[in-house]
Amino acid sequence: MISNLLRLNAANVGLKRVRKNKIDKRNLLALIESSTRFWYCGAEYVSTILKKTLVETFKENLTDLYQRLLQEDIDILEVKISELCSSYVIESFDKSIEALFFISIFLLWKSRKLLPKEENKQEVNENEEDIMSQFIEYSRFKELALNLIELEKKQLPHIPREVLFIPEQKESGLEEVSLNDLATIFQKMMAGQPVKKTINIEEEFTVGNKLDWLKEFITEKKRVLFFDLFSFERSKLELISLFLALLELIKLQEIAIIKENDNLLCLKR
Amino acid sequence: MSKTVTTKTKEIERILEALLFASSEPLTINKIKEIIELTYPIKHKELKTLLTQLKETYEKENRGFQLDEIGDGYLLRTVKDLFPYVEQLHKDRRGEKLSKAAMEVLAIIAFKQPITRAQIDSIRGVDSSGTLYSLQERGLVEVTGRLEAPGRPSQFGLTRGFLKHFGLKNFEQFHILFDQKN
Repeated sequence: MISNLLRLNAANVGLKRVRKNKIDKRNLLALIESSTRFWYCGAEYVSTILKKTLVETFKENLTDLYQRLLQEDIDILEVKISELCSSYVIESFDKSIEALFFISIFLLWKSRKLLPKEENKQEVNENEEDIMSQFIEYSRFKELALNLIELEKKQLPHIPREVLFIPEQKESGLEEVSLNDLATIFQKMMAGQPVKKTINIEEEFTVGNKLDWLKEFITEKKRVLFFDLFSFERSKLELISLFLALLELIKLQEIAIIKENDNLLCLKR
Repeated sequence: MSKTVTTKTKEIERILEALLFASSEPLTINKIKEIIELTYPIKHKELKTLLTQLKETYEKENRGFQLDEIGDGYLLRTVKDLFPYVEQLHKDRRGEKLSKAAMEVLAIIAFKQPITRAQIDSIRGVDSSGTLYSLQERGLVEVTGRLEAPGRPSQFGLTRGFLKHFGLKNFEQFHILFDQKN
């Protein structure tokens, strides 16, 4: 936070820009708070300490300090480390770490400021400009976030209805045919099918392969006679794989089997 | 003839009520029209009038719920003064309020969308990936595209869920509201 004070203090260069952006007293305070948050993410109490430090160090309130900053009569180099150290009431271990941390940042900044101006002037100015514009942008979003919180508070008492998800109730696809029917048909088909006499021992049929083939075939044809699916000359293993793939697709509700004029039809769902 | 018209209007009103009652998301006029037109042809303007009438009826009768125009649609919500009772009903499953960090990320996205996570991080000065993930989970933010830059990072934008959460009619209303304040 001391670094923020220093940044604000050191930002005399950027003050014209601050004025241009019409940053008023309230926004300046928001800027201090947001910048604190920006650098020491989450430590909200830090901003309180910052205000305390400012008051104790400069023996004046923030309004006066703001005026003095505007009048550009405070120099960063006027801030004494010893004063800042004494302004901390080190009550706990946490606070002493905090103090140490801030004082080290303070030292870093002050030493940077003490470097010969000629060499680093432009670079320092650019950095300060960048930091200022980042602070300004972030403080705006922070204020917007506060507005959103207000808006959310207003909406909180209005509760919309909660509707339970209604699962889609698809039919099984076997309404018109029983599993017994299918088993009988399969037995008939196996009995009546001219089974290949020569079997290629390298030939492999998996349910997965047949499932892909069947999906493609039915998507293309839309409606297929059940027996047409098994009309090609196939080995027993292939027929079984195909039949299992057909059952799987019915289960996945991708196809349905219906009866039409005593014929069994496979349909794409 | 006029009796038939009245019956038809009454029936549409009933359908409207049923649709609004069964929806937990804002229903757009187009969606309502599409459903009603399965049975009754209806003009957009006519539907809008019926919705306005329904809204006024609830207000006039001082009902426990109201019809709000939110997220480019219509949504039934409980009235404000009955919140203490509704709160009792839902007291075990609160926690819908967004964190301050989430609000900051939303504010940034609202004014900078489409924006990448790295750009949000750069504005906030801290990592926002966790916050962004939870906002996506809650349906307030979504990936809207990819930036044409090395790595093609995802760009984020606000959803209609954002409008619903903040009770806003549309994004235009949001900008009018916030541009005035800032």
